[in-house]
Amino acid sequence: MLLLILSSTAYLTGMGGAISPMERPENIFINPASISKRIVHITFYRPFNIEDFYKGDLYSSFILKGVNLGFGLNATRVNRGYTRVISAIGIKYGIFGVSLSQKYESAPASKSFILNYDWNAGIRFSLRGFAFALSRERLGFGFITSGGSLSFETTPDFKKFYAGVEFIVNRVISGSAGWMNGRPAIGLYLHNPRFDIEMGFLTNSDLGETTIVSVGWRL
Amino acid sequence: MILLILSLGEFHGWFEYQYTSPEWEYWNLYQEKNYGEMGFLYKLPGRTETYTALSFEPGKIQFKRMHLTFQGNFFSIATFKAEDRHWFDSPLLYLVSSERVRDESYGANAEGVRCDLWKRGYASGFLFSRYTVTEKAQAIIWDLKKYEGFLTWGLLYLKKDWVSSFNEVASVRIGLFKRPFELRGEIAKNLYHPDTPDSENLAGAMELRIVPLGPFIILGKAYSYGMNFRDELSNEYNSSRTDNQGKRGVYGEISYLLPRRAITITGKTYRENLNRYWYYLEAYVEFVNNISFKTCYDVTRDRFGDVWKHAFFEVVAEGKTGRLKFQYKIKDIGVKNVEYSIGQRSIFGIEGKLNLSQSMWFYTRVAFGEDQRTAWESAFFQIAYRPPVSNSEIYLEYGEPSHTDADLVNDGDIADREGITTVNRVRLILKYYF
Repeated sequence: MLLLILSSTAYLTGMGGAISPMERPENIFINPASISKRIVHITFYRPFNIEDFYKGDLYSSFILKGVNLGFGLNATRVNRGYTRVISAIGIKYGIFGVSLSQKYESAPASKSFILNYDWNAGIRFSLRGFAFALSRERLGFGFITSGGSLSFETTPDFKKFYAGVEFIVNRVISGSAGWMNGRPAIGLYLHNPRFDIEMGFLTNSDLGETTIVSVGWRL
Repeated sequence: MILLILSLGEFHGWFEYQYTSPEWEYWNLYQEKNYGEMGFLYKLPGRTETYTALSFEPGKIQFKRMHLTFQGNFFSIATFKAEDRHWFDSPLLYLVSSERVRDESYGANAEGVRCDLWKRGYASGFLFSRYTVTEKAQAIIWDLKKYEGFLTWGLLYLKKDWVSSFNEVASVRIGLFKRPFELRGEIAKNLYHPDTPDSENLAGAMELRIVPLGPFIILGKAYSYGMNFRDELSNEYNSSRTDNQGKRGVYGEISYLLPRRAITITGKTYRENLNRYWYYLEAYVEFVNNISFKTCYDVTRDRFGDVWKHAFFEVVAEGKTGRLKFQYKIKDIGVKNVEYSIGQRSIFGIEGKLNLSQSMWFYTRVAFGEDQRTAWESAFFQIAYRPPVSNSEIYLEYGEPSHTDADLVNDGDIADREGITTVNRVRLILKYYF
C-alpha cells in the first residue's frame, strides 16, 4: 500500500487525503507516487447550502507491464461564474512517479480565463509497515497495519498539516477520520467485489461555513 | 504491630497525571491534573471487611471513602462513607434514584448504614444515608420483597428529611409471572410533603410483557402520576420535575423478529394527557462480517404543542482489527423559527478504533453539524498505549471528548450547539494502577 497523500481535491471535498484509504487516484494531481491500481473512479460533491455548486471527478488508472498509468479529470462550476477544469496524467514505476497537469479556469464576470500547466514528481519508500513519501509539493509519513493506517503529511514549507486514520474493519466496510489543515473530515466506505461506494463529510470555510457531502463510486 | 496489620491487608490504588497544552496558552505545556488514590482493604475472619481510601493532590491529602461490612449467609451490614450503596427496586415507578440519595457531587458523598437480609426468595433492605455536601439532609429507605416464584410483591418506604421539613412516600407492588407473560403493578402514595396538599398524591403504573409471542415481543404499560405526588429521592417526581406532575398515559412497544432473518422491526409509542404523544419506529438489521444497521424515526408532541421529528441512521462494524461506527441524524425536521431550537439540522459522525498492536490502539470521534445558517464540527483523536504487564495506561489526545461522548451525534453538545468547534488542545494522560 502506498502512503496517504493529500490533494487539493481532497482538501476541498473531504473525500480523499486524510480521510481516504491509501492509493486514492485523485492524488495524481499532486503526487504521482500515489497513483492507484484502481480502474475507474467517479466522485460527485455537493455542499449542503451552496446553490449552484457542482463538482465532479473522473479518474482512471491501470497497470501495464509493471507501469502504473493514471488519467484524471476534475471539473468545478460554482455560482454561475467560475469554472475550473483540471486534467492530469501520471506514470508510476517502482517507487518513482511523475505527473503532468493542465488547469483551465474561467470567470466570465471578470472576463478572464487562465490556462496553465504544472508538473510534479515524487518518490515513496516503505519498510515493515512504515512509509515515507516525498514529492515536489508534499512530505508524508505513514504507518500501515492490516486493520488500517495512520498518516501525517505536510507541505514543504510546513504551513499546512494533515493527519488521517483509516479503519479497515473487514472486506465490506471501512471508514476514516482526519484532520485537514485545521478542519476534521470523515469518510465511510462500503466495498463490493464489483464496485465501492463512499461518502465523505467535511466542513469547509472556503465556501462559507457548510458541510460538503461527497459520494463516490469505484467501478 | 502496624507492619503486621499492613501485611494482612491489601493495598491498591492509582495515580493519574494529566499534562495539557492548549492553543489559548500558546501551546505551553502545563500539568492539569496530579491526582492519586490509595485504598487499604483489610479482611477479617467471619467475612468482615474494612476499606479506607485516601486521595492525593499537591499539598492536599483527603479522606476519600470507606466501608466496614459484615456478611453472612443471609445478611449483609455495611457502614460506609462516599460509596454508592443506594439502589432499591422500584421497577415501574423508579421511586429511588441513586444519584439523588448518594449526595452526588463528582461521585457519591453520602455516609450511612445499609442492612440487607435475604432468605428463600424473600429480601429486605434498610438504608440510612446522610448528606453534607450538596445539602444538609438525611434519607431513610426500607423495603421488603418476595422476588421469586409465580407471585412476587414488594413494599417500599422512603423518607427524606431536610432541615426545615421532610417528604415521606410509601409504595406497594405486585407481579405475576408465567412464561411468556409477566404482569406487574406498582402504586405509591406521597404521605407527606410540605408543598403539596393531601390530595391527588398517588402514583401508579401497570405493565404487561409478553416475551416472546411467536416472532413478537410485546410490552404495554399504563401510568398515572398525581398532581401532588412528590418523591424527593427520585429523578422522576422531585419538585423540579413539573412535567411529570399530573401525567397520565399509556405506553406500547412491539418488536417483530423477522423469521430466518436477522432483522428486527420495533415500534414504540406513548400517548399522554394534554395531547402529548410520541411515536418511534426502528429497523435493526444484522449482516455477516459483524456489521449492523439501524434506522429510526420518531415524532414527539410536547406539552407546549410543538411537534419534533427526528430521523437516525447508524452503521456499526466490528472486527479483530478495530471498530467502526457511522451515524447520521436529522434533528427537528421541519422546525423553523422556534425560540428553543436552532431548527432542522443534519449531524454526521464517525467513531473508529484501530488496533495498532495488542497493547496500542488509535481511537477517534468526529462529528459535523449543519443547518440553514452554518456548519460546525468537533473532533477528538486519541492514541492509547497499555503495556501488557506494567499496570499503566498512556493516552495522547487531541480535541474535546465531551462533545461527542453521549453516543456521537446524539450528544446534545454537537447536536444542539450551533457554534461548537474542535478544541485546540493536546493532552497527555498517564495512569498507573497498583
